[in-house]
Amino acid sequence: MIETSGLTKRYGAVTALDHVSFVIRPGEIVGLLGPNGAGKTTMLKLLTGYLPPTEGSAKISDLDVVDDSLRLRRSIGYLPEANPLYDDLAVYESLQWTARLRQIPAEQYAQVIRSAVERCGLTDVLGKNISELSKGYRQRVGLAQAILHDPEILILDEPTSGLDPNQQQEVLQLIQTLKQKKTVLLSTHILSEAQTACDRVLIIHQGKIVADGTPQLLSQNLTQGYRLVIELKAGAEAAQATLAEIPGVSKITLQQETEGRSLFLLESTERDVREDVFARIVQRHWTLLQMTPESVSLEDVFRQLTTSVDNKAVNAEGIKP
Amino acid sequence: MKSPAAASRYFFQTSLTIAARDLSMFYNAPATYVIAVIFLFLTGWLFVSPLFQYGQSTLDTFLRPLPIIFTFVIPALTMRSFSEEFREGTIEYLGTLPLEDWQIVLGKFLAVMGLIATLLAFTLIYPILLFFAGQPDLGQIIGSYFSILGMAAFFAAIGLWASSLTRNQVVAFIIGFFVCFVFFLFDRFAQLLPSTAAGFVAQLGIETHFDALARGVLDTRDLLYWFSGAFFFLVATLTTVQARRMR
Repeated sequence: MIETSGLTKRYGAVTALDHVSFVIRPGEIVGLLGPNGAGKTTMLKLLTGYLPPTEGSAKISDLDVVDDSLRLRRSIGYLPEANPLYDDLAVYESLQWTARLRQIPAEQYAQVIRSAVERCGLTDVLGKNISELSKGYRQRVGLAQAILHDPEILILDEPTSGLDPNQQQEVLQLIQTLKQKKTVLLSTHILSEAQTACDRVLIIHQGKIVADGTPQLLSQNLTQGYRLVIELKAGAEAAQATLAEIPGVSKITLQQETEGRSLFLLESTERDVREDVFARIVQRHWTLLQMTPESVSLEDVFRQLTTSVDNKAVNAEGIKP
Repeated sequence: MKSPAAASRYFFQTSLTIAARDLSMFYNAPATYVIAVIFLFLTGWLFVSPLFQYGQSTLDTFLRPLPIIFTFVIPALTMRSFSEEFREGTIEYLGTLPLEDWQIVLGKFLAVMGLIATLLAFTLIYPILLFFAGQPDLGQIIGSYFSILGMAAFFAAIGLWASSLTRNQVVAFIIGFFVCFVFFLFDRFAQLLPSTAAGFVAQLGIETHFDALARGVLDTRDLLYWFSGAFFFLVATLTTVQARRMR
């Protein structure tokens, strides 16, 4: 369990985190989403006890990040941003060194290391120097070090950054396999990653949490009204005028016009206007080529929340003014 | 709860684990060998060339220039210790392991001392040669090596502190060299002062303490000087490492 209350971090005059409060329950995989510089890394550094908060407090498994830092660090596994590793060590040496510093009993080294190596798919490169490894393998070494002592809580700062799509998928699958026993907090700016891998998403912007909920709920809650893509055989001007007459339609945008065909994006606020649209088109003897409801993706949610100056707070229950 | 014995074992084991990695870093770095060769060539040359001229069986020709040689050799060895961790970001990894910060500082200090001890082991050939040539004073030789290690510990602590200030190795080296050199100059500077202040300032200098010990006089005041100097700069290193993290 991770719990923060009023967590604030200032670097001089810059406020990196601004009174952030949330609770992450055991067994959840939570994605911390935000544009670069939103405060993701700062948040993770505070939670791992690497940086002290300016104000507020954070607890992991009931251990305070400041007062119980040493015990807390024993119970978490952390993959820092950019995954710093000692290049002059071999993979096996690096893992063994971590095991020693984590005070794992010497007789368990072999077993603990084997388990981490197998889970992270490092068997083939065990004897290689870290400096010789590809980025994907380096990331796996970082992950293996983080899970070596079988921590209850894993904190991963951009675990897939710099990896190719296949490697990203592998790392995400690995994280999924850890899910049964562990609480995972991972930061990312890749939205599809959060959508597929996380049970819950926290969107952070300018040091504040602007949204909190499952990826699906967040998309639903931001779908204010309906959006339809309509393509028909008709002149653009006439069609636009006709569609605008339909009650409830708030906006029509012509997206494309080619050889007597027009493509519109139609937005309506309160009600489903699909039947009316169909009826009007039939009435005018036009041919309807497509009518597709457009859903709001997490990407839209993200863009909407992190680009507007006056953010609306969104949570699982609905949109707060 | 851990017993005190287990706690102290844990304390040293962790520092030794850190020292082991740093030592392997030293042994894998070409720069270490370059510095070692320069050091051994320089001391060898200085020791051997007057030996036959004067026919004296003393270590003096090796010992006299050591303080000035150490002012650049030791900061060159320590310059990477912390600056590299800051530059590569590995300090963040170390900082989030269940370790106390001073265990990290102590570990790095032990690694440098281990490396210096290895270097000094090669210089044992000089006193051994003396035994072939004549009858040197064994007590003086043992005292000299204590003295050398004390001075090395002091300079190593200064070098570590300099290395903790910056992520740039070269800057770390220059700061380390400069501070070591200032301590080296205190004795020379003292000669320019009125006699009341001279004694005090000279006591701060390296050579006053080094010469006494190198003559084979084991004075606790000299040992205290090395010990407190090293301690002071190790604490400064710890404070700097912590402050850099807090920003």
